[in-house]
Amino acid sequence: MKGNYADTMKAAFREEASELLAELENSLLELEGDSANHELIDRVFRAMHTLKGSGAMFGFEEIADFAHEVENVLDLARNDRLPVTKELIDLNLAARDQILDMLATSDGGAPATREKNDRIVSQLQKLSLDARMEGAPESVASEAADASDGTQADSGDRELYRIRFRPAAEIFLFGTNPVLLLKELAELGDCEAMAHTAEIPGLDEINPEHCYTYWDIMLTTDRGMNAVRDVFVFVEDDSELEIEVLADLDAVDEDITQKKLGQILLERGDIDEENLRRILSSKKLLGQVLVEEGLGEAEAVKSALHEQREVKRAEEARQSASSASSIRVRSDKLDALVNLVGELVTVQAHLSQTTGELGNGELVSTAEEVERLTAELRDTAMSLRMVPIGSMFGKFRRLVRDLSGQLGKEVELITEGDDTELDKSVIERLSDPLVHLVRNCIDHGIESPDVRAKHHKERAGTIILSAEHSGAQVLIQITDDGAGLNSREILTKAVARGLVSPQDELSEKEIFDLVLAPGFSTAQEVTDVSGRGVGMDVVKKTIEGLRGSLEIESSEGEGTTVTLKIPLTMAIIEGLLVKLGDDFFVVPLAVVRECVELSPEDASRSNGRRLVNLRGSLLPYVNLREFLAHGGESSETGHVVVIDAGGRGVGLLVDEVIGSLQTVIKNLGRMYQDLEGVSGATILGDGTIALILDVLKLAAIAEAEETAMSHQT
Amino acid sequence: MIDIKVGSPKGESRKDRIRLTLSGRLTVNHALEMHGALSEALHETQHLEIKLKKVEETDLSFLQLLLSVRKSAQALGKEATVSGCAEESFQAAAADSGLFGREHGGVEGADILSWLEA
Repeated sequence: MKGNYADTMKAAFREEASELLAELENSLLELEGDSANHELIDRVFRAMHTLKGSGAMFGFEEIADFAHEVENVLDLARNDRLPVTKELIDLNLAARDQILDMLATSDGGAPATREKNDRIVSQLQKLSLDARMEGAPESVASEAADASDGTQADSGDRELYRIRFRPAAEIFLFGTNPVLLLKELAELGDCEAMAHTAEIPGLDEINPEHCYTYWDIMLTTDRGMNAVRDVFVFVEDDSELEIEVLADLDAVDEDITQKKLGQILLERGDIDEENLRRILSSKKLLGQVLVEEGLGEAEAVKSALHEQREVKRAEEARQSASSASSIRVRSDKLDALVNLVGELVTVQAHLSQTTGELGNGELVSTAEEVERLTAELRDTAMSLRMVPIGSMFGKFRRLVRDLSGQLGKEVELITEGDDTELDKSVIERLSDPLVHLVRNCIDHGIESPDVRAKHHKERAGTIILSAEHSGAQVLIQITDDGAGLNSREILTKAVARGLVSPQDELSEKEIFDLVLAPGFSTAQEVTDVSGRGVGMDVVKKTIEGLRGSLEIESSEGEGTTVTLKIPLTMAIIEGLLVKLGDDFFVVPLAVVRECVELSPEDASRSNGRRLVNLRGSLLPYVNLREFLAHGGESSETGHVVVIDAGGRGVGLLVDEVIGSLQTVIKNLGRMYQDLEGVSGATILGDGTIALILDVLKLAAIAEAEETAMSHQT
Repeated sequence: MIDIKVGSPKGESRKDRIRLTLSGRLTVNHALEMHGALSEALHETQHLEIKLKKVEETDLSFLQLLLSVRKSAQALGKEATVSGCAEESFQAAAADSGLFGREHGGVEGADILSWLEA
């Protein structure tokens, strides 16, 4: 019993440690770009301190001793006695990796080397010794505290302020330097000012003694509104000054509102309502359109994005402070719960069907109530397994940092939609393909700084990793502003590999898709970075295994975007139940566009392809009965289910469309694992089994067969 | 005190390139003077080279003038470059004003950074 308890506690430590290590890594990477941020230094220190304490408590002495050494050095940095340098961050990242190795060792993994331990510790000690020899730098924090003695109001809650300061044009002539006001503001707390310079005219129009610059400032301080206003007291009357509290960072019970970009710009007066509505309805990226159409300056958009980030950071800090409101549950327990709910959904379907047949009104209404509760239970159970994709995005920052350094490239990673939630199991399976895609961006996409400069691009390339919900799917995009794909080179290579013949006339999209074909990448081209024995074909296969799809868009010289469409969950989906003869099949509702009845006069054939006349335009369709060799009498009448196959419409001809169905997905046995076109099965209310069609695969196979047929003819 | 020197590199005509060297206190007190010299030089030449040397003080008005030169040069299809930006007082003024630098100035800042030579 005692042994079991110890094992449980050790397992709990491992879990806690891996979270702490992830947080440590993120904080260190943030610290790299913001080395004076005391909050970040504190966060790093706290993570290391907890690792030490918990490690010692649960019998991981080696980890505790090592963390103790690292913590000593971090303590110096925390007290401004050691500067936060790249070297310090590198060593801390190495220490973090070493602790990870030590954890793996205790878990039966390869032993972590003692030499590496000692090397990191001695380098850290040398750093702290050097700092002591040189004399400690002046403490910025203590200076600020000293300066504020006697003037500081009672220390209240920390608040995040948005300030727009537009001084009077004549401010210089009044003898005031607005920049000094910014410096004064910075003494109140953590302050970032972004200047707007777009209104500075050319030499012919400028009055050199006028001020044309204005600022958006984000300030975090606990000194209160009055202290902030006091800074501007002498210029307030002649300036445009807006001070607004965006969030109370210490209020535990108050949610911080995350505003959309358009809302922030509207509040700031950088865009009017009419233009905002028009751009939003165009479904293009707001910031991009504003800058393109000259409706907003790039600086205003950037500044609003900056506010969004700051508010998000504040919300995260608040959430981690109130983490006591959550509990830790093993994921296998959640899996078991979801499985049980799945069974319940199946039984409930049976119940509804049976009560309907019995025709007892009271029973029917009770069954409907059970149905409603089951649906709620299902949604709640599914939401328990949902985790924000940001937990995975976080690890890419380290990947990008290390790889770009290795390849001598400068790459900035921007993540968007970190809060987008996906089923935990889907996120786990997405990790490897995304790593591969991001590696590809850095290795093949982003050019070296010199090459970029030659092409008049920023020296640093950008990779944007974004996620957003779209119906029952999540769209994940990996965009880089690198060299883009060269369709001629791809085609030449594909011809050389025998994937296509030189005579084939391919569209640009079809050429890009060749990159996803097995055998396109070869061992000769494998580099340390992107070549890990995994080609894009494996990425595609994994995504398809998740019932998702992958699409590549690229523009030579401008960059590449890979879009992944992934279903939210792998356990229960909304399906459309259809019938062929006496057999049932399920089409995932997420890809269904519409259903139409097929009459003989609407059906036609061209080059061996079946076509249906859909409101005047011709849509190719597949006769599912023939395709599945289902047997029975083949006819060209029935219902066509129009599906979205990667942006194109394709029809599936079935006998009957029954209706929508909550589909609890059951995996097929090993015997059927390699069956193409079928992705699983489900049990209907009466116990009948229905196969779930992998419609995207079906469409692709049908298209390939038809292409082959038309080549033969 | 401010010192403005105007000349051209050896072997180049004023029409092709003018080098304008600015020293001393580049502040609003001398903004009119600097504006006059910069305007005249940019109208006369195809490539205006602004060189900062022994700069004692810089303020926002001067930073605005630099951005104004850049805007005019772009509009006229001419070239304007700035060197000597590593001067301590210039760096301090730029950082404090939130004008340049990736962290502060954002898009415009990063763009300007690549324009200004250390």
